Amino acid sequence: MNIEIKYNSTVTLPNISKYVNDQKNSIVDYLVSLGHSKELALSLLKFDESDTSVIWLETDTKPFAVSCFAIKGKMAVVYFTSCDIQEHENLIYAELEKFLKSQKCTHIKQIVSLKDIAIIDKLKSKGFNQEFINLFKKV
Amino acid sequence: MDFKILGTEVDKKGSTLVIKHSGSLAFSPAYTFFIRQVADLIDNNHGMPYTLWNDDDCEIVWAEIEGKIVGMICYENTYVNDPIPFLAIQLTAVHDEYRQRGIHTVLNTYFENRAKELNCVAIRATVHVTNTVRLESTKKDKLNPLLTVMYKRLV
Repeated sequence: MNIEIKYNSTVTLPNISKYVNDQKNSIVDYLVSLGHSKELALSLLKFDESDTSVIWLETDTKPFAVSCFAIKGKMAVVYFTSCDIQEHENLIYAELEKFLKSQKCTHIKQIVSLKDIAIIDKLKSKGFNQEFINLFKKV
Repeated sequence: MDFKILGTEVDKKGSTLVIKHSGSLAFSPAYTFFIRQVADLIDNNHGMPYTLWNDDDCEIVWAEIEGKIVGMICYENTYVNDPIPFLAIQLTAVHDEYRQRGIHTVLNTYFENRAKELNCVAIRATVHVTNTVRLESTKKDKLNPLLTVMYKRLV
């Protein structure tokens, strides 16, 4: 399989925009299944498409793995990384990091739900540390 | 330097607290107090050594005793138009010599009132996992853990 690695500085390109939205919707559904409200799930994945970069893997012009992020100085804020085929997960993370290093980023940050143990464990296995907790109170 | 006096309160030791507010951290009288507290937080490994706030997106409420700043809550107001509108605390701190006097609790009440005034439905605090003192005080503030911020160093 011939895998192409692609990058764009916005998520607005038609061919990747649909894939990003499909992935985003499935993550929102997953977060709702964990017990979060849809509003919270949407706000966790909220980003400005014209100000968010995207790196993706595709074959025969069909995307199958994607990562959406924004670079803020030396910090890269990753909104989500997702793929159709589990075996390509390491590849999309590796390509993301390679790209971020080429942009002189020194740190990656990602905010995830405390209920989403699977993503916390996955990120830990990829060298992430749980540094901060976000706490909320209704007023 | 624009600010407003919100009210006066009495702390647990009987001192009068003057509560003040500025709609922008930039050029507020409490700016250097905020910066010193940020530096302490970083030195204690409870904060990241980079600037993650925008002065103009932050408001600050602080307490003074006899003209001296003894505590503050600085918060970001960029989420007030979100689907779930909330205010996000950048930093809350009480001067070393004025702790255990209920000053944070007083400030937190004013902060929550400000959130209601802006039609927010929630407030948010971000706390380092090793900051046990602040994690303990979040219980008093009735804040509930919901999200975690994960970092990876690339170099």
